[in-house]
Amino acid sequence: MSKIKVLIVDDEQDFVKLFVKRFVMRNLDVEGVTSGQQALEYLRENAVDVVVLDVKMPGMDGLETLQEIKKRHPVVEVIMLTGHGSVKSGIQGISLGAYDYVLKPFKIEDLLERILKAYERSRLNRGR
Amino acid sequence: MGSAFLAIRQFLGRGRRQRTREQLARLREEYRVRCRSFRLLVKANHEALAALADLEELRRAGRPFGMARIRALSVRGLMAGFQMVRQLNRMAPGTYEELFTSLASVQTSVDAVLRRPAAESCPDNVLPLDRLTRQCSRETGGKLARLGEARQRMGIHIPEGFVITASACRRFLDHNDLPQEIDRLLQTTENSSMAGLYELSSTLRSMILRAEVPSGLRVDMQDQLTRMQALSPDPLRLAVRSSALGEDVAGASFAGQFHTELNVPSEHVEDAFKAVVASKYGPAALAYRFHRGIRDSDVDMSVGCMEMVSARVGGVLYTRDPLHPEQDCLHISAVFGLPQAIVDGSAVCDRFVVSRCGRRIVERHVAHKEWRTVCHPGEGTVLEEAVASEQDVPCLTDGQIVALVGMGLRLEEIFGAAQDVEWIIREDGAIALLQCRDLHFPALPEESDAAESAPEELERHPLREPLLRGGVTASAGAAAGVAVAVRSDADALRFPEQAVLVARSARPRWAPLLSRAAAVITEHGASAGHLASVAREYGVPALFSLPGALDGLAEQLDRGAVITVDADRGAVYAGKVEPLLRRPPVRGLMFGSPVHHCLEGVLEHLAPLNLDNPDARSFAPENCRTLHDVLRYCHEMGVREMFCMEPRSGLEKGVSRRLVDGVPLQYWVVDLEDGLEAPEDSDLRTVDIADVRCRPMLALWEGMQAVVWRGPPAVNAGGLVSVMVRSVSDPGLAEGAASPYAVRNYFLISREYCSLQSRFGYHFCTVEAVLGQDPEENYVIFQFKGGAADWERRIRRARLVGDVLEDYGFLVELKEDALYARREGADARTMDALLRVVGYLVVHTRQLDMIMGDSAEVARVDEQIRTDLAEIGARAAGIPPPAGDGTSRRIKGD
Repeated sequence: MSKIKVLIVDDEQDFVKLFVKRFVMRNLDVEGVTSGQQALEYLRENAVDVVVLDVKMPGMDGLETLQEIKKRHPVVEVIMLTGHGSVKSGIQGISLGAYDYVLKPFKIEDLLERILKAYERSRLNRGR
Repeated sequence: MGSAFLAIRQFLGRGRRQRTREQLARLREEYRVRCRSFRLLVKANHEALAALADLEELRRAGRPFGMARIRALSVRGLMAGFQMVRQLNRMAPGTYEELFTSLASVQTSVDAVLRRPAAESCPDNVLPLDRLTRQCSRETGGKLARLGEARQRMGIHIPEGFVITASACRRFLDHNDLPQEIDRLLQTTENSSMAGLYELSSTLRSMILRAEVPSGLRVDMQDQLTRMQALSPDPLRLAVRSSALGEDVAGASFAGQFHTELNVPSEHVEDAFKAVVASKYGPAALAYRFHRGIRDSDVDMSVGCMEMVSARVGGVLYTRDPLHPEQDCLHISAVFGLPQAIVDGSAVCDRFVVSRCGRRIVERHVAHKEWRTVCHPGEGTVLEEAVASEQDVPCLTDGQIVALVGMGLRLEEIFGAAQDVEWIIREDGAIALLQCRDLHFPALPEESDAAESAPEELERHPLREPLLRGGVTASAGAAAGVAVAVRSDADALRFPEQAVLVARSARPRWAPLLSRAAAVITEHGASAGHLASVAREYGVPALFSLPGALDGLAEQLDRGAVITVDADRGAVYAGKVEPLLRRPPVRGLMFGSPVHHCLEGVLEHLAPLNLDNPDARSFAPENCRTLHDVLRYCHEMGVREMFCMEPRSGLEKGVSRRLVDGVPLQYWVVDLEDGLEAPEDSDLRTVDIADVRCRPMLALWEGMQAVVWRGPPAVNAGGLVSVMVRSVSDPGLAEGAASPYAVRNYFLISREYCSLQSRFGYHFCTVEAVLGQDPEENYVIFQFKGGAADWERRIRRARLVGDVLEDYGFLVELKEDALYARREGADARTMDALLRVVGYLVVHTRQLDMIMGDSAEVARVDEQIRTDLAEIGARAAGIPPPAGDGTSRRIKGD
């Protein structure tokens, strides 16, 4: 099986670096970008299974980015990740088509599990 | 389903292929909603209940937890609840909309508990110190307000100065858009690890240090500094100190957590102010709040800026012995120079014990004081070698001691509690008050028989010779653990749980380790230091000022050996000395804390279950008052929706393919998605069982054909037999001519999902299951009703099958002759076995109702079923079936 392709989008550079490192260790194919705009550009050029998206980012925020991703790449599954935990933004995210909504702090294994499930779903989306 | 018929009719006239495709798409969509929705609903139910369980677990306060954890779990539970409501509404559009409202109101209540309480704002940025009273403490913190009050009521000298109010500090953070970012970082990294704590602390502090002071505050500070400079002939030097609000929370002392900057020139006051505000997020402060259950919002900083007074002698006065509050004496620790080193726990100091009544000096310990702290000519303070002639003389005269005692007792009187007083004696001989606050007493361990019997036991088992003797009891008790030296922050990061901390000095920066340490030993430091007070608060035995501890224990430290510290008697032993180890102190520090209180508040809206009876009239969306109610309601209704949905009549026909296992069978298969090995080809009219890759169907099928159906039971009412369809589990018997009552049997499948609708004569049953890798999404539901026999017999059959299913862990409900059974959340292996059981029952209970009149026969059938199932189970597990019992049954397969 080819590696699962994950894109992490977070304006916090350090977090992105750490995330990439941790998930590459767990044998995922992970890329990181630091804005919604960059995420959309990356998705235009590259095939991705799961996007992990920070809710709050300067410029194009997570929910806007989510909407654009779902519009342009409906088979890609999106997991929202946030430190500004609120049920309201979670509900918005899920309603806009996010696969899952994870509040920081999270356990790596827990998030990995959720990424794997989102991947399963995106595989089904593609009819594979 | 009428609309489905219409839809099909509309297709007539178009090409068959086109029609089939559209029909299949419709069917798929219908099942996608049905299957996915229920699957997600079941999963969300698990997730929400797990979050509730975790919250309940926190409530027991066995381990410390913070707001971030409560918030994360509440959000998780509520999100899962929302998911359930959403999926239920997808399954039955329009029927359960009210649940959104119920859930939203639960959410609002929870948000209200979790929200940061709004603070009252005061317009003043600064307040002069000498005009403060305790009424100001909401803006200035208790410590500084007391200074002002002591000045006004007792005429005690206090340094000239002003306070930057808590409101001004908040405005400073707001001005830089920091509060939201701080909350986010706290939420993100709560108590992840020691390293995480240090990193979080450094991020937060540097954010604050980089922030800009608003111009209004800058002007007000400048005015005050100008006023103070006017009173002093020399260039103004300041002590910039924290004064936190909320120090009274839950008896918390916050000892030594915040920053103080001494001897600051006025042009650097702004930086010192920022450093003090930032010290709210020092590692010790963060760890302390976490372990004591104090919310970030419970602590507000205000900052005192006081004229720096050079001290001849400085020290700390306790108006009671913190370890023995019942004793009638005051304790004074003193050094030459500034008292900073006593507070930091690093100084060797003189100690005096004075009786409260009579004010007699009852103990006098004069130390060898090699160093003293003085103001650096530039900025800050330095340690310098003390004048040789002063090193061994007491730093206080008896007169000064008595004067200090007098001041202490008066402060105690004004503030109505024992006091912890930081004082200096100025070069001119006058006593000045630097700080004063209520003295903290350690929570007394519940004195028990164990404690009292300890000495007796010691007599019976004389102790071996201690490794070290001496020291000062900083916190009472005895404990054992692996000896670990802590010399640097790197050592602190590696410090293991329940080890004995051995350090050179009692530095406040080791305070975060006390939540993990079994005991503390230091070479320097007094019981009046911060680390001592934190140790008492945590109930960690601590032995300070034990000379040569690091060297004396070098061997144990190298080997990581266990040592026992008896802080009460000042001794350290090799190994574990059981008689000394009294019951460890109870550390239920979270109880009664603001965070614990918050948890209780949240749970009140999440956990109670009011809707406990699904059959009651009150079982309704508008009565869902808690998250638990919503979960319960959604789950119940989701299950009902699954059981109540009538099977489609007709839509399957055009798109199904006949199942073949060597020969054509009486079953038809619809591939919803990914359920078949071979690529879909709508021209094919049959499906070979070998091409099925739907796991639940395969398991079900195994069960269905594991034991050959013995055909309709022999009954007297021969007329009924005519409507029977013969077994389809035996391919040889595939029936061509269906009776008018028989419809086809359909498997609707995807890779992990299977729905079987089957009807034999009057007998109607459905099985629906998800079998995948995630146990939380797995479920099987099984229902049947009808039958040809009379009412009584049909009810008896339902009971029999229900009993069998209950033995396999199903939840069974019987309504008259109908049976509804379900089981959720089993792992793949278990699901496989359960589906075999269900498969068997689907086939073998078909006409059981016919024979249910005779109780002997019922018992025989019951036994037969159980024997067969045991055999199927054993076969699945790879155990050979028991030797043949001579009946006509034959096990299919090998």
